[in-house]
Amino acid sequence: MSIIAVAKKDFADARRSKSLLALGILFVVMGVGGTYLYTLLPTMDPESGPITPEGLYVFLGQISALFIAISAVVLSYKSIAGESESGSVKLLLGLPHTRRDVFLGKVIGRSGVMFIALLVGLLATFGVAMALLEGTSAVAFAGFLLLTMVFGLVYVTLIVSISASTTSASRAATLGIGLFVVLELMWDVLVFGVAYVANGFAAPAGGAMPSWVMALNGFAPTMAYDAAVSWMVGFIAGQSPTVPFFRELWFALIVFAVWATLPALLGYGRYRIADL
Amino acid sequence: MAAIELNGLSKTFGDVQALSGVDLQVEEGEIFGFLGPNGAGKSTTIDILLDFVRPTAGSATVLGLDAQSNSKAVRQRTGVLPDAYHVYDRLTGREHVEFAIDSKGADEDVETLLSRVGILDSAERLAGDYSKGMRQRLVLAMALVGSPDLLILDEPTTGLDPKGAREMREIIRAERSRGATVFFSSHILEQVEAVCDRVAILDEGEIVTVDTIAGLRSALGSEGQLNITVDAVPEDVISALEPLDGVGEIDIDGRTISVRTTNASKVAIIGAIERAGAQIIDFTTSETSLEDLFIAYTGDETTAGPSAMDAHSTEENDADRITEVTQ
Repeated sequence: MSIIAVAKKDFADARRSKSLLALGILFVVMGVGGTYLYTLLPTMDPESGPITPEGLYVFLGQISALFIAISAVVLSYKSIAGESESGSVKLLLGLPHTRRDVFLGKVIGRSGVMFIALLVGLLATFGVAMALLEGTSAVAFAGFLLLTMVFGLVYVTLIVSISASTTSASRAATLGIGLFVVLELMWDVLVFGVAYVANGFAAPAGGAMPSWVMALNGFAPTMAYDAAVSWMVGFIAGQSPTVPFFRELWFALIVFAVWATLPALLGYGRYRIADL
Repeated sequence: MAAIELNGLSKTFGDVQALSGVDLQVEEGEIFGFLGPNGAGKSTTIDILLDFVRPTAGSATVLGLDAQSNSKAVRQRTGVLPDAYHVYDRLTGREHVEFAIDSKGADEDVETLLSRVGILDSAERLAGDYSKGMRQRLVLAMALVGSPDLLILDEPTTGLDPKGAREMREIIRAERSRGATVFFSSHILEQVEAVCDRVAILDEGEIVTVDTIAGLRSALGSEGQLNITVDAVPEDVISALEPLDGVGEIDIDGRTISVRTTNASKVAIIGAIERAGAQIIDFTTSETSLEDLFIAYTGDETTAGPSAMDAHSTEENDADRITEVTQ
């Protein structure tokens, strides 16, 4: 009841701020443009192989991840810290909501915006894919949509958690962008650094990374999303190719679960005891 | 049962002691004024009642419920007009009140509430475009949702014009008549004087006194001040006045003699001054204002004197303050 009231209010506020419209347009451009770009691949790179709907999802997944991650930061960094900073939290918590209600309501409200924008963007993408690619199936598309929404939910939860951990919107922005840089831009470099140190300050012989390093590399949400989409595409095509465990669906789901819960517990934990 | 009960309430922010050992009891059904200069700890106390901040020591009970462990239940039965809040700029007035109704699970008519606080005409406008006074009215409407048992109003007349301040007081009285307890803070004494059954004065994080307005006046031992302008102040005027009954502090400024006194002694004082050889040109009397009481209790000289009082009043546009009676 209380969570829904907060979520509804938060969704209305985000919608009014045009962030839903902006995200919807972004995802339409991203999906439709990405699909068109994918159909051009054989002309640009003769070695890229034939274009297939399955290949499209993997390709789209790789570009979507970056867009979704940065969108989640922009959409959610102020969700809780912004209210603490401005003082609107006094209206919010002057009403009978617990801080847990507020935290969960914010996750639901902002995820709702993300979901609707993704739904619009990917339905447009599906329309274009139907026109440009033979054999595009609704089932595979639905699978791709579902995984993309889960990825969006994970990122929104992550950024709302960061927002809950501080009462300063600018600090939330700094933390959110910092996290984006670490997870999206520097993750493989950092993982290589860890492997380098663990190997006695030397690159692993022959360039072959031990599997724990690969698993660590797969622990970034984007890597898990990529693995999940690839796995799903293979599964729907009826193939069961042998992939390392860190490229399997269960591993990806664990990675999602970890990124959606541990930061949430930390962020909410700080919010629960904060003086506002 | 007390509506609000504070026991040994203390709060420290870093190395700043905001509250130290506050004990206070507010009875059900009363209008209680919580007075103190800015920075005295009024908002901190209210923030603890609403669980926005947690006390360092002591306890706060609201409507018989622990303000920390049972805060949601407290806020279900309380209407809040906080200090230093911010409205949702992108939501309309109507949406704000609807949010309060949703949040409390109340079944109330938005338009009745908005018309009660006088902003029905602006229901569909974004609250971000409201004036300060309209926002204050809007948040009051949110506070009234669900006919709360307790209203907590932090500086409720901030940003209101005199008419708005009067309407605010009328609503406060009407809510009390309905059976609600009203707890409101102010640094403007006249606001409190006009509606409160009892007041507490808070200064530097400590309760200085809790009493009725009449009780405060008599506790100070004088009911007012007599200002007498004479042609020349006789040298022995102080020794002539001091023995009289009901004479308090005596001040001489130029040709004006100011005497704190009870009403009954005024004639005797004038007579004594005349007998001392002075000719009286003019005299005025003023009732002890809460400002005087406040200064007497908090010893806050920075806000003392008529000019400071006027500055307060101008700042808050409050024409309703008790004015000096000139005879």
